[in-house]
Amino acid sequence: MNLLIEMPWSNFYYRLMQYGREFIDNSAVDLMCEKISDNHGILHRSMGEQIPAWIRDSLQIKPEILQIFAAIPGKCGRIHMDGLDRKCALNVPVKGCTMGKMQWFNNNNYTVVPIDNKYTRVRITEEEGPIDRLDDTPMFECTLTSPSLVNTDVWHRVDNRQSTEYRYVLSLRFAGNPTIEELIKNL
Amino acid sequence: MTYFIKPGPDPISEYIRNNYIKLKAEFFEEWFPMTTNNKPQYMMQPGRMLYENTIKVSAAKLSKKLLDKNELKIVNFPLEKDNIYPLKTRMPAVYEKVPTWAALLETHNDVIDQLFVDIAYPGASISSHYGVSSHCYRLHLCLQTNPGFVFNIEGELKGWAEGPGGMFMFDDGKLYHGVSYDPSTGGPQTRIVAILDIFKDYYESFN
Repeated sequence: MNLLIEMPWSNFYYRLMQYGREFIDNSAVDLMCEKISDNHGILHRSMGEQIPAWIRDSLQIKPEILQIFAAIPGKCGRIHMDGLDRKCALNVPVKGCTMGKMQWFNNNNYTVVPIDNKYTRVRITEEEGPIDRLDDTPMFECTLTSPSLVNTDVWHRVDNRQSTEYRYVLSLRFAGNPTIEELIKNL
Repeated sequence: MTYFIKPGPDPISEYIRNNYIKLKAEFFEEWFPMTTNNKPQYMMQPGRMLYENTIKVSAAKLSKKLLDKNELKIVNFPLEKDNIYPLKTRMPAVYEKVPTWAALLETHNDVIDQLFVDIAYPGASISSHYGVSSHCYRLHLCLQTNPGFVFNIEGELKGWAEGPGGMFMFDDGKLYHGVSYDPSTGGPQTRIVAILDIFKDYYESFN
């Protein structure tokens, strides 16, 4: 099972990083996180035709959603799985990613509680409840320092406790809900 | 006896220890994304690497290496003074965004002969070799590790550990060294190491 596949930097990914920097707003991240009672969440979302044409035209597989994820410095996001319609993502580091870690956890350790929202059905753990499981040991963790395909169909979170910076990541989801293995073949 | 030497205490090591987080952030956020012509293998070819991944290159080493390999026609890299500082002269916009790296070089320019970043994608390897001169120690500062990579100096094996605590150096000009990759222990991430060639005289003054 692949959790992460790194991609070499290219001019396209560099341009995506620069585009993501247009959304940097630390105050907005604080407000967003307060609203969702988490330390990591979605700061911006574009869908379909809202995604800039130069991004859509540069990809062989159709991007459906572009999101800017952000995390508060010194804090840890909740363990979750993305929606059933979100098996993987192409993530590009935007800013503040060198100390915060993406962590994946064993699927057998938690029970799924689905939460519907307007866009998808995110899954959180029944065990977590209102309090994050800060001391749980991930089966794999890494800093996002290159554009990467990440498996979001496994329990994961962003742990930004070791960082003094807000962490921003641009994330793309694709039509047909490909797995990470399918996506790498088609990018 | 070990071939791996722990650097310090000395001003260069202290600077790296005190500024590691800034060095790492500048590299990954401003410098690494500009290395857009990297291929998924070791970036040992002169030319492209020299100005994308290198702040300073040793003129003496470059000259000898190219002449030895008869690569001057392929590389087309004239040995002019400006080319000694490829990042600064060819990519000044990037150089301005890595002030902590620039300060490291400029403060110790008289003792740092060469400074570049070695990028190895999972699966890469490099055959055993040694450097062209023995006037420097080669210092390795790992910015991102991958447990599959193993460094071999004359049969002595070592992995890379991230950060200033994992720094080591060795005599590049005397010792055969190479890199292998074991997929059974390898992870998905690129192994990235900053390499500084530092004149031996510098260390002798602190010991």
